[in-house]
Amino acid sequence: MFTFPVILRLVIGALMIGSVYAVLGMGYSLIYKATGLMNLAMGDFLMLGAFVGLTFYKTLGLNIYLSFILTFVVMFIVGYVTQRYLITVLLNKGASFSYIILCTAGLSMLFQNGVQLIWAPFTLQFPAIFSKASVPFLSIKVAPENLLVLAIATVSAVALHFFLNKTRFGTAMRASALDQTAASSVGIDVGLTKGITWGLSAALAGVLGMALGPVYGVYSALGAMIAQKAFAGAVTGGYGNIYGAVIGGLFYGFVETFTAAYVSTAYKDVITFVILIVILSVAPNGIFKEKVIE
Amino acid sequence: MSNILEIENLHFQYGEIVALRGISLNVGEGEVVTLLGGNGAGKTTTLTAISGLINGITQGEIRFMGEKINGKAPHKIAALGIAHSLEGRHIFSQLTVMENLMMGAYLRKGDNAGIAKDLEYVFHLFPRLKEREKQQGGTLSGGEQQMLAVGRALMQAPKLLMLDEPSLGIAPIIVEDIFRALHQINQDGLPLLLVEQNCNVALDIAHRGYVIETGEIILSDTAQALAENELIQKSYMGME
Repeated sequence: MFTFPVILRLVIGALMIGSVYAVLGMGYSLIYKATGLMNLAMGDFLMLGAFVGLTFYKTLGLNIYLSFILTFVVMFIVGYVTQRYLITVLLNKGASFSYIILCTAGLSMLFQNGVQLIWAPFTLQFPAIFSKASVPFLSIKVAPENLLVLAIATVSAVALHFFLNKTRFGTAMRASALDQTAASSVGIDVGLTKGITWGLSAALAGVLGMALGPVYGVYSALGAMIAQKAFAGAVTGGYGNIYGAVIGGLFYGFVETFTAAYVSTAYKDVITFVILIVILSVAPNGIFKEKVIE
Repeated sequence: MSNILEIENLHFQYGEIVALRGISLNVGEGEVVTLLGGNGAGKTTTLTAISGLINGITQGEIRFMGEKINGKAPHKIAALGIAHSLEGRHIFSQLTVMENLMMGAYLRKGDNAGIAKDLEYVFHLFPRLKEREKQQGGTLSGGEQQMLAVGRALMQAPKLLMLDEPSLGIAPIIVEDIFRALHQINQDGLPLLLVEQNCNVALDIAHRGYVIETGEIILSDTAQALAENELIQKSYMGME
């Protein structure tokens, strides 16, 4: 039960799901930091990405790389349009933040029911991406699709870090999140940076959703539980801090995987959220305190 | 002397509250013009109306180099060449000094030679910024943050620099440094529109000035005449 192969298998599983929570959590944090909002449709961006990816890969028969790229583009547009043409319109009409957050909850329902209407009300099979069912990894065999999820999540997180810190536009996004007035005054189009923040968050979620397709199947509630765990990770790490979200996301990946293996599969979610409640009552600002816009 | 900025009969309201009641002013090429007045007189409102940061113009016109700019988005107005160093400094606290300065140059895509030249100019004016290049903006002292705010505005390579209370909350000795730099910046050809409550330092470097009270311009004259004006001395310079 505690042999090396078993532990290794669990660690890989924990890293896989934890890295998904981490990247989704980065999306939550980015959106919160840039717009002060909580996006309750985050998990559904992930789920929609799985359906869109399935359509490109299976229905249209495109190659896997192209399918990922197109999914990224489509989901970027979905996120961007949501911010520019739904949330901005509501804000301009004077809607308060709580109503806008409720609006994202409505969007979540729309997506979950919409995919059942457009695609199918049952789980769709995502065809295997690799010809081999398993590849050797140290002393065990791992499904290559699981490693793909981990790889995509890692690349996404690293790319996001470099984009935000090393590029002109990424720095402008951070600047806008810190001080909108100052950002406008130096010529940054703050409306655009907000839209791109939502677009990027949705695109990363969507690509991960597609990568998860072969692992979990593609269905309308695919994103629901994942989003809750990612949210828990982002809050634990310090809501608004993308690096905190990575730590928090990985943490819950390990908690969940090891709880399921050694304690109880049935209670793994309960235990995750009990831990969240305990952490928040001890450290209400999360591990990394983060100051965010009002 | 031709005017770079012309404001004609500008009225401005925050919702129901009238903040500006028909002010007119202009800034000529190479000039330092100061806008003096007490708290709530409408100084900051005038600057934010020019840079488009707040909507609320109900009447009147703002022209920059002959082009009407009221109603344009703030980032478009910045692109035309108006830099606005904001009241309270508004530096990006979690960005480094260098990143703050580079954000000033955000719109100057591809002008690497020009950016390098202006960066050198800013570091020449404020050597302290060079020393603190890699520090986060929020860790600087108030005076250094003000230097950074001015430096960031200069990195925009503006044709007009507007400054909102650069002396606010800063030690007198640093205020001197900053105003010496502002004078230098103007000597190098940049027109300034300077909002101040500290009339002494403002009139020191200004060519002309306007006095604003409850949203109206009540006086306009050369800096020297204003400095000798009894009303100004009494109301704003603390002389009896």
